[in-house]
Amino acid sequence: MAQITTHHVTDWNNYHFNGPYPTKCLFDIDTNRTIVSLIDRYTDSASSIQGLISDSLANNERFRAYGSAWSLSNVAHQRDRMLFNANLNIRLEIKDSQLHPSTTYQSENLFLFQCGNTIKEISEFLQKKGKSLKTCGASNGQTIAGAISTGVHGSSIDVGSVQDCVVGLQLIIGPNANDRVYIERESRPALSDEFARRIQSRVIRSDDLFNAALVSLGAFGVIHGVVLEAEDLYLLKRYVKKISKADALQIAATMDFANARFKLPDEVLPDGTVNRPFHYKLYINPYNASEDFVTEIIYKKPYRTGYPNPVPFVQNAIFKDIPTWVSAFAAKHKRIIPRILDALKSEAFPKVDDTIEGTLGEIFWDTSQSSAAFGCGFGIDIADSPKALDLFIDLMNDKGPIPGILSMRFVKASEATLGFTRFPTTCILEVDGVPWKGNQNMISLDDFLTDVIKTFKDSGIAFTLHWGKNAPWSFPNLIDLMYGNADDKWKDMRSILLSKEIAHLFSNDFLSTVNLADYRVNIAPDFVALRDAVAASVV
Amino acid sequence: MGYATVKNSLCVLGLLALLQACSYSVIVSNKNGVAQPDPFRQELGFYNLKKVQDVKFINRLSLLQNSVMVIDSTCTEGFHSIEYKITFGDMLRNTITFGKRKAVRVRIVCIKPSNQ
Repeated sequence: MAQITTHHVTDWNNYHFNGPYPTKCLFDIDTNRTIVSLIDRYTDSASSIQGLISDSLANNERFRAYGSAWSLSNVAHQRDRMLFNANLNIRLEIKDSQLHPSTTYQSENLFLFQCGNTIKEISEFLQKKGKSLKTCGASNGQTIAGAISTGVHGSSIDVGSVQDCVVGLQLIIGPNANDRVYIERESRPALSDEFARRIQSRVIRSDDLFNAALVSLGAFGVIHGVVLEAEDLYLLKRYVKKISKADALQIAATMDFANARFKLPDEVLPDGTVNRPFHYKLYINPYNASEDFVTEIIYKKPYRTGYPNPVPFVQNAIFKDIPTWVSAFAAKHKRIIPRILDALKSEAFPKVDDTIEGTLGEIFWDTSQSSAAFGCGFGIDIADSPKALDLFIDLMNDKGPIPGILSMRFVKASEATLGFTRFPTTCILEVDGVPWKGNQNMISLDDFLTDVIKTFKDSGIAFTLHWGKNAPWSFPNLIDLMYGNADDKWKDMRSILLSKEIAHLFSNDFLSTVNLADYRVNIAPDFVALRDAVAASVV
Repeated sequence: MGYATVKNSLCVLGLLALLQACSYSVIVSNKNGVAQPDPFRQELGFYNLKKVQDVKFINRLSLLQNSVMVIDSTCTEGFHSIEYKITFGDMLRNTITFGKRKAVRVRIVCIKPSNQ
């Protein structure tokens, strides 16, 4: 069996120090490395997790797995029992013989990653095979299970978020032999039934269930394995330029680089057409919005060896290295915040006119931080992005100032039912900074973000919120406001897959706060056949 | 508080600041590999949630020896990072013993073992 160490604790905190939160017990699990066969070692881990689930059920305790603890919201937290799974990092290549007969995927591009693999581990593993992830969260510390279940995104304008590269999921949904499921889309099957049997899972092929389980918020059971589609290794060429606000927002509102006023001479072809970037990101100082925007534009290039090491230069682009005392000082003397941010611009923004090249894993290399951090990401349709930015900047100046800077990233829509990148192209309007305590002199972060939501709502701007970031999650009817009826479908799918008892086991405070924890005995008539099929499936 | 007391306190503080400035450390980090995680190590900065091993000792060198070697057997897949620290006292000890007493203060983070 896998090695499990039990720690009785009183609290738990996330990587960015947004807690602490009360917790009773933390299990630290590692694979049994004496088992030679990786697939047997993988199934052994699943059995051990099921043992913990069984014990939690017997003791009427709830249960939640987590990896890198990177979410700034409390989505990863569980009051009762938590499973630290970062050491579960088995990787398996998929062979031709393991493909579904009618798949369109190529075996050389498919890999099964156990839940605790981080984005960096995956990138390094894939690079050795001449492959790369299609995108990442513009950072590399999240585990794959955490990244997909909260909708982590980069700024890959034509690719999507991390979960959009997933073609199959293995979930552990209970303590019994039949409680390991392998889910993939019916419309795009990837792996054979035989492979699912090899990992001791019953197969469920359903687009609705798969799309709901993609961004699961940890509520669909323990994500034990993720089948990812990779692509051939490529290089990214990163330019950092200053662009006028008008030109930058012209692109932001349309993603039409072909007809944009701004053009990078190096990316204009001899016939006058322009290359389409892979990634586009704007950095904005909200307290001097008239200045040109620092803009990061990244193009995809064929892989070659012999390019200069980009890592020493990418380290400059980390805002989170601003020490905590800055926010404490700023909370007492808020009028100086714009001056502080202006002075720290060189730390907060990448260096203008730097051009570097590297793989995805190199361009988005390690980050570390010397302070606690807050971050909030609003998803908005790109057409609304200039208006939303103006409203946000006005609020930061009227209600603040607050110690944070703004950025805008752009991501193709996700198929995930509760993917927050749900607009055809979603602009993620983000504010990142160092947290502070609200006082008589200064608005709190929660109150400020509540004002942003009210303003967007009153202005008719449809929005979503990044699940893994800070937000006033108890805002009334927030999920309906953001997702319409999509949350009903998500709840139906969860209730089809899990029993009521198990749904409770995998619920937590976050789900209760956003009204996603409730179980549906009566699901929509359209899904009754799916429920019956799922109930009838066996390993 | 008298003028002399304040003056003395400032002198002591100044001296402490000077000594502190004489200590420094350097982190050598591997571009590749992921740090071995430790869910209980929560501290701001580089070592947050990383499993750390501190190696601290004072090595006495024989007349013919002129260097210290630390052999680590815990990192099965290599080093993620090594921090070497030297303090004012360490430098002083090295100087007055003509290099025959060397303090070693090393902080090691291993690469997270892969499952291969």
